[in-house]
Amino acid sequence: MEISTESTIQFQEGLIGFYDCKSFRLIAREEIAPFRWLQSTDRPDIGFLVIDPSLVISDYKAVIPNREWESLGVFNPDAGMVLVTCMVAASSGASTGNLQAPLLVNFQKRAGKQVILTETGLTSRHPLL
Amino acid sequence: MLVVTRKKDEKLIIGNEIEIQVLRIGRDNVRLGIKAPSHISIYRYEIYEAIKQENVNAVQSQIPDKSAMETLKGVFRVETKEE
Repeated sequence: MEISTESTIQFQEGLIGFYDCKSFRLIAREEIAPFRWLQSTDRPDIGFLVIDPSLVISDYKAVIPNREWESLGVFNPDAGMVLVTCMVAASSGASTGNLQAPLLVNFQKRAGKQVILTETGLTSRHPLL
Repeated sequence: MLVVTRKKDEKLIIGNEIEIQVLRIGRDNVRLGIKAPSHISIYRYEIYEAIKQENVNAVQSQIPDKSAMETLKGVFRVETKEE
């Protein structure tokens, strides 16, 4: 992968509903690829399986408003990293990704935030297949 | 909860930077204008609550091990694309 296998990212506002989770380790491991693991360092019992949404919708980045990137200090969206949380079901077709509420990451600054997209028609349970 | 009465076109200020203005008063709704710095996220409450619940639903307590991932291998058709 293009990034180191483990990096710590600060979410200044926490994730939505998890204000107390402001620091996460993003872990890439061969056995879970193409997913990655986002582990809260504040709460060891909180983790998310995440994926690059462009593997689901190739031009996904185009739906993210520039102002969301700018608030993270990213002025060229191509340079920003996007992840979405996943719910993986045992029956393959039922697995979904939250394409409505992506995690935007300024990887240079190791800073991220979760945003809600309200005008795209994308849902929080978009099929991964 | 702080309760204030405002007329059309009147405003509130929250902190030093967030302004809320009553733009229109209808029968069953009000139209509000909100001015805030770009790092402040503003959402309709019910949308925010729905996403909060989805985050809760997506929480897992530990990183999936190899056998758990085997079950998932069929899940994703582009699984090898990134490597």
